[in-house]
Amino acid sequence: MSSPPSPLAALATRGVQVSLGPFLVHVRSDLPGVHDYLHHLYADFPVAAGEGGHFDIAVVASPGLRRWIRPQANVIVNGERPFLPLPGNLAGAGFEWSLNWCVGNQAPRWVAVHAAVLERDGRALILSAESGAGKSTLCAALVLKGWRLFSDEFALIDPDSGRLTPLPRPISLKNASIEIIRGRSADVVFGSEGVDIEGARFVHMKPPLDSVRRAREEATPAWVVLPRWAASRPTKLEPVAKAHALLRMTDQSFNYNHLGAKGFECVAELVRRSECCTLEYSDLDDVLTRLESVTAS
Amino acid sequence: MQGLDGRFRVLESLSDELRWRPATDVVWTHYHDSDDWVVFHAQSGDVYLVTSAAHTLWTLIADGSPPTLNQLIPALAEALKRTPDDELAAATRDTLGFMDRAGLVRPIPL
Repeated sequence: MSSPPSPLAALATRGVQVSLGPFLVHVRSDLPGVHDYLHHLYADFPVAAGEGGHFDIAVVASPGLRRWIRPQANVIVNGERPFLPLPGNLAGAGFEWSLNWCVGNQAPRWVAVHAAVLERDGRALILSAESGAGKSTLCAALVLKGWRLFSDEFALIDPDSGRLTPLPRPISLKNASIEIIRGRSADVVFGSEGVDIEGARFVHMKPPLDSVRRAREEATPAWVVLPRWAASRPTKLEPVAKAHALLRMTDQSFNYNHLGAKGFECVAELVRRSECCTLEYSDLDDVLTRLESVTAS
Repeated sequence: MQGLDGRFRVLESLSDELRWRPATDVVWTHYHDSDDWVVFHAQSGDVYLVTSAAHTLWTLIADGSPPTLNQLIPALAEALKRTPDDELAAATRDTLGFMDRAGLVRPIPL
């Protein structure tokens, strides 16, 4: 008996629908890099051949000679081209980056804050920081410690309920974080390593099956941690005034101002209900112990 | 050019006799673990962290009839239980200038 054909067989023609938390994403691509990326890192997600979805993403090769000489990947999102063409070997990552763009700009039902989110016992730990602060490294390490991966990139806050909606996707690791996380588990699946347009080495880590299966289970915000990686510095996890935490959270939000006062009040209420801390760290083991202690108390 | 216009308007607007009114599309938030306030200006989408004294100043502008800077200084001194000295007058003028630039208050045209 032969196994049924993979839905990814339709990727280059009518495209496939990938179910990601609350979103249905239609993706189409004639580039093998996108096929391989989805095959390796989205193997546990519901994927079906079909058209339509909340977001329509096409990652397609440039025509003519560009197909063979220094090939390019063109990202088309809902019929628009928000990015310049990428080098062809970044096609898989280009899909991931275009998803970030979609959620940050075209998901007005939620307030989207740039943050990694983890969950345990229904309570969410939000790690909000600018890029390069080490939140994805912390996120991956906490996932390997048994926390549920809620989201590596966005805290999606429902402005009506104040609860968080999961969006588990591959975790993006850069530079030294790649080896640090690789060294912590032999079982984790990684995508192929690349160099992004800013010259940083990157790799995506496959989300755990349990996190993908529980992608509809919301959580209550409980902790807001504002991390910053600082070389050779001792771990410093300290309470921060909520007014300062709110300012940092709004600074990291993509769309709260589009929702007006409701968006602001939503983030303000999340901060009011959460324990807020700043975190400076360089020793990952030490910080994991400290975070476990804070969240257990 | 727009910047210059704005600068002239602020300088003019801080005239002692000008009356002030609050912007209507602002949201104030306060938590009990510090004296600071966070204010959201809906029109620009900007968020500011301000001191409790600045919030008190805004409240004085929002309550009652539109005050002038000269009326605000003694009112703020009373609210903060301070002497209305030159230091407080300068701080009031600076804070009013900041709130004008941020769109949190507006001068009433003469």
